[in-house]
Amino acid sequence: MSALIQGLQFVFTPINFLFLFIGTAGGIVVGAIPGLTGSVGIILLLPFLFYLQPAVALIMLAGMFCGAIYGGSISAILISTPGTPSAAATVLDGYPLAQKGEAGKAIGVATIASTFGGIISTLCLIFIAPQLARVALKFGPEEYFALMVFGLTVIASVSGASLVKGILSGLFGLSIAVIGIDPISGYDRFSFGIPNLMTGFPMLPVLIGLFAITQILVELQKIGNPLEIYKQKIKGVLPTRKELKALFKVIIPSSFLGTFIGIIPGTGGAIASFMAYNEARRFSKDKESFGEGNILGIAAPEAANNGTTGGAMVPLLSLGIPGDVVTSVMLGALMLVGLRPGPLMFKQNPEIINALFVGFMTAQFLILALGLLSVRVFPAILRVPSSILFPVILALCFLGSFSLGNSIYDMFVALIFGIIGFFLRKYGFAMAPIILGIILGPLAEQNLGKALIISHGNWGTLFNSPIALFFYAISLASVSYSLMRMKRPHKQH
Amino acid sequence: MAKANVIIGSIFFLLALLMFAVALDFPKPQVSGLSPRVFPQFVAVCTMVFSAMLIAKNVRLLGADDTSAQEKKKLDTSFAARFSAFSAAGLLYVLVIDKIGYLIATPLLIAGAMIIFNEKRWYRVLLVSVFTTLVLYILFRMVFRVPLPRNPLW
Repeated sequence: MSALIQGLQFVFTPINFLFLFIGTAGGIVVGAIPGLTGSVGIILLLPFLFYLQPAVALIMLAGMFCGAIYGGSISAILISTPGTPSAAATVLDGYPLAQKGEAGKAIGVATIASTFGGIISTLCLIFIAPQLARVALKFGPEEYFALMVFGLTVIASVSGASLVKGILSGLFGLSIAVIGIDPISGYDRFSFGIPNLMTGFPMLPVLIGLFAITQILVELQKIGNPLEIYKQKIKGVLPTRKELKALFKVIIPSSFLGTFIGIIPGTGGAIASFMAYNEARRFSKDKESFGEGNILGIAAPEAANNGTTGGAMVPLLSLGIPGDVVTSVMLGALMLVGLRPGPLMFKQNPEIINALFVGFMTAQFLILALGLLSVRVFPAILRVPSSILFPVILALCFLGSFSLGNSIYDMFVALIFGIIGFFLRKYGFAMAPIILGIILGPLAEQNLGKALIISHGNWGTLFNSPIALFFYAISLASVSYSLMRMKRPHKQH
Repeated sequence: MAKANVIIGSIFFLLALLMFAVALDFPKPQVSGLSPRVFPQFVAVCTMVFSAMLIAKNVRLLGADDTSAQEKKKLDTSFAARFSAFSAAGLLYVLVIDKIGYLIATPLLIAGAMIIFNEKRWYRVLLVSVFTTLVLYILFRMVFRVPLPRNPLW
């Protein structure tokens, strides 16, 4: 109870609440704009976070994360273009309903479903994460190494269309991570006498380059393909009481489904929303109306994709491994602001965890308020021309890269990684595995080193612990599942 | 796509080979603990294996690959020009910001990027580039106290 009060006192301090508000509102805008995802939003927020207390930075990131997942539904409904991959299933019924002149109701349903999905997943986060962290506190270097191996197998799940390319992306990230002074032996690796390389590549410019500048280049390629504009007037936001009753029969199970999917590393909102949509359709008495503007077809994916937010935070907070693409970027962001997610955070910084829990919950209510009150503003957000938006983002990218180390070299790194990232992405190499490699690679190496020092060089120590064996087993299962998933479309074809 | 995959796979393979060779000069494994060469060499070997897989898979498709012409069309000259202009503008910005200062370099960068993004209204270019530069300057220089590069004459 005292933890809850502590969290409430922190979040509802006017200035902290303002940052949470900015994070959530910014997340909704970022999510709504096609081409900008939660990952890009978090990265654009990073240069500002360094000047905040870690707990404030964390709640702002939480607001951005939840807001962006919800925001994706707005463009999905209004212009049939999901703002984020998680909102792809929302297009199926959201857009037809908007075409019938009921865009207000579609956004209202998405807002209510997203809020409740978020609330249920936050409650699960509050109850599950501390328990898991308590178990993880008993981990030694062997278990941590196995955990990092498991974290790295998430690469297989976020690889995109080609597993080989995904693994190569992850290995590219690991290769970047080994540049600089080895943290165990202190030996200088691959710097070739260049002073800037002795500390390795700075993480913030690399993140800015790979996600934000790459995205600008992707948008540059789309010039000449104008987005659709929603011209109808938006009215009638709230569903009727009868509709609400029916909605909650879908929202509650979809929220739990989303939370559960979110907890499993390597899944994410897109999978959860399609699964929830299918389940809602399967249990519906009026299956034919799905795809033609059924409000249940909006509520199910929206409850599920916002359900994944709290779920994805469970492995991130309690074990220090990201659950999906956005939480991979979030892990990097947290490390940059001086926080190291994992079980020790629960022991050493309980006040930050309490603030996060309350901040996460408050963000859901902010989504409800902002979503319902600003529904008429949303079409205007979608009308911001790319010729203004992306040049402004470019300036922010350069300034953000410069701001941490006051170094022009960092701007150069961001530009180079942006160009490399663009070419890799163009030819089907996903960005998320690179980040996973950069973040988890050094942690895996450090824990392997520690385990070998403790065991006097006995490699067998890596397989002595049952917990480590458990992680190796689920790593194998995770990779096998990804392989099977990738083979399935070929069979169908 | 097959041709691009073979080229990218070959680049990865060569870089991994170089990484492996350079790591041979790192200290040898000790009796206990981890040598600084083990992890990079492990990563290099894995990269070589997977890039070889990518090359092998795509070399077979090279003959039948009729997409290269389409791809060339896709990467049309207008995008190639925009991409080159964008990269050059970014590089020029990084090279000159220290010499001419943030307040002059940034509006030029934004204006250049807007033109590359096909913005034709000059008043919009002027307003957005100046306004954004000033907002970011106030935020980073005055609020966050980031020492942004200054023009040496001021």
